[in-house]
Amino acid sequence: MVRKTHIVTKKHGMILVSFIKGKQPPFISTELDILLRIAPHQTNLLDSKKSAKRKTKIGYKEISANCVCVEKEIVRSKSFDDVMAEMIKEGKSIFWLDPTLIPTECLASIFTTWLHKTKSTTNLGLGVIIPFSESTKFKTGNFKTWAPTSSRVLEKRVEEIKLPIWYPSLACDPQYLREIANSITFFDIFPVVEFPQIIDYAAEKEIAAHHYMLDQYRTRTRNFIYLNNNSPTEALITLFESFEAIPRGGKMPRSLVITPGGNPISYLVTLLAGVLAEGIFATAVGERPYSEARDTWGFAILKKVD
Amino acid sequence: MYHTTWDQAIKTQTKVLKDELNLMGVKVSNDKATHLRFLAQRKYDRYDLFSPGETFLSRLVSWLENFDLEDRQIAMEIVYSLKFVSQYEMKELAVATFENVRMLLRKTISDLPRENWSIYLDSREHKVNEELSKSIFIACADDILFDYFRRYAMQQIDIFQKDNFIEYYKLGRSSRVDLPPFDRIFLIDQLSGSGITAIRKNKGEWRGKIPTFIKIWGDDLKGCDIYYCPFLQSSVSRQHLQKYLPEWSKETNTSLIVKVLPTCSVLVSQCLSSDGGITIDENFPVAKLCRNDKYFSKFIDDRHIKKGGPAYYGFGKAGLTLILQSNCPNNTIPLIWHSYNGWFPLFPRVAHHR
Repeated sequence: MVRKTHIVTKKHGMILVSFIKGKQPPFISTELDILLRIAPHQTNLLDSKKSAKRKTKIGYKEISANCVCVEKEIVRSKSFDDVMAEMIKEGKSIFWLDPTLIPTECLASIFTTWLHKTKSTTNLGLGVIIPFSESTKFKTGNFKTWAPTSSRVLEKRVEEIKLPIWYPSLACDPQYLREIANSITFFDIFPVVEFPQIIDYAAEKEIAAHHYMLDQYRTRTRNFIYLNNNSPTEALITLFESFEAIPRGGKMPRSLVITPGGNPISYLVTLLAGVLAEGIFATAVGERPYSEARDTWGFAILKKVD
Repeated sequence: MYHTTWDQAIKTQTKVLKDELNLMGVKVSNDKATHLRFLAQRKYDRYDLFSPGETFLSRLVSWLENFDLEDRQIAMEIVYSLKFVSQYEMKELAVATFENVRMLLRKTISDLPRENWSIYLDSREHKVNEELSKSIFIACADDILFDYFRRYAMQQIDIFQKDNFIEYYKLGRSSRVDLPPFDRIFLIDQLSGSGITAIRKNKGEWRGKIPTFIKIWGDDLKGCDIYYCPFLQSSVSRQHLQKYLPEWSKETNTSLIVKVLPTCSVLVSQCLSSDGGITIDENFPVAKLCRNDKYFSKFIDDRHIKKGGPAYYGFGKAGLTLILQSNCPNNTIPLIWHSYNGWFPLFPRVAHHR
């Protein structure tokens, strides 16, 4: 039976993708399920008032790991690499991550580490608790371009990015996107639009607010990629397939550049799709997309399969 | 150089729009003129019923001429409130409608094993697909890109047969013999603007798509769950269906329960509502303009429009300023679309019922 709930990546094979809506998981956590706390970003996260309000309980045991951004010589907890290796060795089933307070770059690198260190024969799945807040709009102007790797984030100089094809979330501040559009000469643009659950007549104005950038690049509305938050699996697969359609090899390879935005589900979907497609991110410096989250939307689960 | 020419063209177009509107007695800010020019070129100009070469902005000027000078500024509020659903967006609505069904099944299926996440997810997807294969999707309107909907669904799940998808809800008994076994029906509609087309009571008799469908399909529906799934549903339709569906169920003594599963809600236009799109504020300047006899007297209610009562806020008083690329719904205020007695419509409409 064909089930289109998977992604087929060129380098990492098939990955099953599932999203579950709800504040609590509908299944029992076994002793093979681990909840990771990422130091230093989440040192006191689980005790803080912010997270206490959410009351999501998942994972049998809690383990602390140093974030990929922490220099090896600074010993607080075990390195993320070591914790991953231990979990794989012990045959753990899944590690859960609460992205609240984790910066975008670190989050992308953690996902990348999971992607690189696990195989389809490894049992270890990646679980993400999806925090919820109304939006993750950023108004900061300073942005940087970077690519996540399994050990750290590699900064990319704008001049190094060849024939960039950009996927900006139109939920971002128009001025912010305009600054990026003015700094990088894009080869083509595929704006990402959140598919509305309610037509409140304001959406047209929100798109029109990006007129400068869209006119500047003569971006056609047929290029718009619609993300349906109500169906994140389909949204992730759609976006990933669009990323994969970009010619990345050959004599004139294009570069994939992503600026995630929108509500927490769209943001996570875009970030995950970008990591899986090994794209370059253009994001605000120090961006913490879930720092304002006060609630839980649900859970995302990724697992490699044969 | 190329860019300079392009930029210059855009600036000139915006300036001309602003000046032209000014000559019509309409004051418009730079920002609004820029946004309007942008949306006209990116969306509105693609309206299927415009003639080749015809543009929204050229029609706008002629449309404003319908109004007396002192009313044109208010009429512009209607233009600023337009919501245009393009064919790309309609395709997304078709996809989202199928995904909505899938999400509904994920939520409603019970008795899934909960020992761990992996077993839970495997069982969930297996059960959802099994339930989908016992579902029939039926088109209740044209313009819903039903072929696209079917192809998308069949691409997602290979267990579907073509007969899981029926293009016409008034399918006779003889044509239904080859259908796969089903215990769930999804009636797919494009827009439920007032709910009146879906269900209404006329001279003591129940009419509309839902009662008609149930009458035609009769005993074939025994034990079936029925879902009415409009791509778009207005607030007025939601209230109407909440009231009439249980009433119909009770009066006809049917064991069938029709549930409503809209993909996207459409609120009352912001130019008509002071409560965030729930109801029409009769004191709003645009509401007064819609009711103004000087303009509304030119409108002719045909027998179909009359079913929904006075139509100054659109059929069934839906109060929409919604335009679909293929046609303008009659639930949209008629000042936008009617062409009776010399009225020049902004978006001309072709009536379905004539």
